[in-house]
Amino acid sequence: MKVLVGIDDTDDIDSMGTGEFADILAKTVEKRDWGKCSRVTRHQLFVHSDIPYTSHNSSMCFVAELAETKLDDLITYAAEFLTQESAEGSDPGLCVAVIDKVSSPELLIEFGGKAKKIVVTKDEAYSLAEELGIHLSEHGGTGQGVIGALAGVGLRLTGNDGRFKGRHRIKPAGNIATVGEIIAQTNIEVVKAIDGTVLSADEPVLLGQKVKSVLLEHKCVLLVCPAENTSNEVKWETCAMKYLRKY
Amino acid sequence: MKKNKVDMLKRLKVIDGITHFCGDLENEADFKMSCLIGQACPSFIVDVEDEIYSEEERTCTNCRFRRWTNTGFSCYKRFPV
Repeated sequence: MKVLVGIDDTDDIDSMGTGEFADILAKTVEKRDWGKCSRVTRHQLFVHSDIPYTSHNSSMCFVAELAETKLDDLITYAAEFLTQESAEGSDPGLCVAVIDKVSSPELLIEFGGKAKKIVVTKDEAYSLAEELGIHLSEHGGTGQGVIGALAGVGLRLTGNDGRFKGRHRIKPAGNIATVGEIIAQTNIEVVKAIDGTVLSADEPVLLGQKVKSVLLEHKCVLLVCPAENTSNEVKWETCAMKYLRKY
Repeated sequence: MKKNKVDMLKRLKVIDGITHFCGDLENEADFKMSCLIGQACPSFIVDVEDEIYSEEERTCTNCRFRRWTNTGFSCYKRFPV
């Protein structure tokens, strides 16, 4: 069964980030043979003075293809892990949603969208989780992280939000790879120009310093921009951070 | 150096007792100022890769101690330059 796992607010300014927590959880699921996990996505939430985030208010989410009998094990392990490992002074939250059993996924998606634009409350998060049959739990401090954890799950469910954590290593920066090579060597599924054009397999792409992908239409997508220096006749280059910030 | 300091102070505003960098980071001059502050800062530590704002590494926007706000960002180390 497919399960979405969202976490938020596990860190403080000096500790390991929430993304690392998500990575460790996903790796543990696989090491214990409970299932297979996708890469972690980062979802930007609303930045406002009323929200006590550490530095950037983003939550992390991954998909686990789990054996049916392992759901309770996952929840128990994740809960203990967050309780024990989250930074002192943090407010960790955990959300686990079995995708096919969410009673009204559109409400979960709506909640995720709201959390990008306005301040939402813990009460709203808990009410919605209960209504939809989703696990939501807090593991320290104020437990404020349940909001981001639930929102992250809702946003991942859209298939159209977030950047994948980490970078893709294909060739060193400044080298050229074809779309076919990029797809063969990574879990990137589509290479797309920022205007939406899908590039063909033989199209060459100039690789930048950090090759990062985004979640679009439920796929891992590498976005490319028109190359600034066309002297070597390569039309496309991987997008710089200024284009990826909005994802 | 003095001009840089003056330019820097123009972009720093105190809001509810906390100093914020309130420049427009899409503006080249404002972004450049965030780089100058980062380069001069004794407390600069680069943030985790997934929170990097710019390929220009040494800028407040890439620092572990910057905290994004709806007007720009504040600094956990209070901009110690």
